[in-house]
Amino acid sequence: MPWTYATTTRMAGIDGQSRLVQNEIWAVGGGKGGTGKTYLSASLAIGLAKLGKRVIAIDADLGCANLHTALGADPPAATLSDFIKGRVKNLNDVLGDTSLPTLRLISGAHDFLEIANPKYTEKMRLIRQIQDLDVEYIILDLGAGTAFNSLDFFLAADRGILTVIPEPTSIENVYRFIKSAFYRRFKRAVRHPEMKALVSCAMDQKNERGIRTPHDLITGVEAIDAEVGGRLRKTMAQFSPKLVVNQVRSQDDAALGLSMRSSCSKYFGIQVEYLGFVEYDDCVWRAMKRKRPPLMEYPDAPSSRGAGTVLANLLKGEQIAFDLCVRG
Amino acid sequence: MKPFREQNYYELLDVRPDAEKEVLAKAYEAAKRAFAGDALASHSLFDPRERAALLGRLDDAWRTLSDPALRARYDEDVLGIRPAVGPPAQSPVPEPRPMAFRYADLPIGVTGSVLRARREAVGVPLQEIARTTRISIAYLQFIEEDRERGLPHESYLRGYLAQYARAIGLDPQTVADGYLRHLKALRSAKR
Repeated sequence: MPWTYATTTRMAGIDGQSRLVQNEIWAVGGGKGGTGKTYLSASLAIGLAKLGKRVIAIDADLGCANLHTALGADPPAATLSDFIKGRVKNLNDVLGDTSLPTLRLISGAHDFLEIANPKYTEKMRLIRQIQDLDVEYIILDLGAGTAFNSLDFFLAADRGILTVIPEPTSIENVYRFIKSAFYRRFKRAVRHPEMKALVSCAMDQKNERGIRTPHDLITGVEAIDAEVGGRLRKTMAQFSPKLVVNQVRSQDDAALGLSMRSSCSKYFGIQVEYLGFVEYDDCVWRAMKRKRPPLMEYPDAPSSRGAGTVLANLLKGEQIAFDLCVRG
Repeated sequence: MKPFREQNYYELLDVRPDAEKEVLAKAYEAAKRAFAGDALASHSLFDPRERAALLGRLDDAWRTLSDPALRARYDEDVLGIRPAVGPPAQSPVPEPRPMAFRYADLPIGVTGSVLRARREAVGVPLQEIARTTRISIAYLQFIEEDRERGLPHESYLRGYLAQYARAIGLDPQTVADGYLRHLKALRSAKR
């Protein structure tokens, strides 16, 4: 197989439980709406299916599901809400078909408002069943925002991908998403009430204890318990979100991913990987208007090629390398 | 991955310890741009105090690494890299100044700090330019510091920029056009 790569450092799922099926879960999030999460999810899913992989795309945007449209599929009869509400016991029973034989779809809930906020236990049951789906790749299209739903799915995934567009609002939200995600992870990793309080305190940017960055927080935790502090340090080293810049119109836009990677390292002390960028072109909306996936309608468009590079880098476990990169 | 206070100079500039000066100069320019107060890439991340501290560290890094003697000392003290002993490594032959730059070598935007970084990269002191071009050193400083209020009228400035560009081996036309465009953007941003 030309695409195999080591899956040794798979992020321990929600509570690190062992899993039966060897699948890869990729989650696509990014904070702000309109930054191409659904576009990228659909493109990755289609790209994998075109390579002959067995893929399930899941619309985990529990409030505003529309992945089926991006995949050019009809709204399926059964959705995630049927599973969450217990009307369907097995996640395999809500699978819908797409025009590609190896790509199937689980549509998001789009009926009741309350489904957008499932109970924690319901969510964990969902995540466990997702992890047991018998396919090679699972693509999770997350909702906008930093709600716990999105964060939990993001953290449960083997690879968390963030989409950003070259606008201050989007960039700000990506940073907030990253921060919220690992603070949530931290909070799970500590049990001691005093430390839990410290983490909660750190999430407030204007906190009185002067904790501004994750490093300040770890230093604070280490002062209470060196061992837990060390564990958090390890957690942070493993946390490595991937970045994709969408709607790229200039070389500067493309280089944004590199500078954001550098910013994350300097501010958070975490290693972000820059997977690649998708150029802005008209093909995306032209295809979307016809309810057709851009990747299938215009496979040779610059945007489709960009999405292809992102997919290739994910499969190879590599980051983007291009001449702007000063690392050489 | 370490936050910037713990990063060494090479990590700060995102370069490998064996990076050549040209690469360092590019990296320094890129980093200064990425972490400037109005930069998109670090938007919402740093508060002003931290940003100032980071920019200061970047300047320190550049000052040290762009000077071969300081860099060698830094490498030895901080990274524990000893200079290879032998005739080729010891030769104090000054690097030939890279004079002919192509347009492609120009950073994406011409700004005062970009020009200064380039000048420092080729190792031309400001005083020397002032002497050879007979442009007041204050004007040269204003150009490098983007202090648009101190700068002369555009028709004079264009000539100054061209001379300055030539002195550091850049294309006069490109630099003058680019800088004036930059200045225009600065002014309209303030309004």
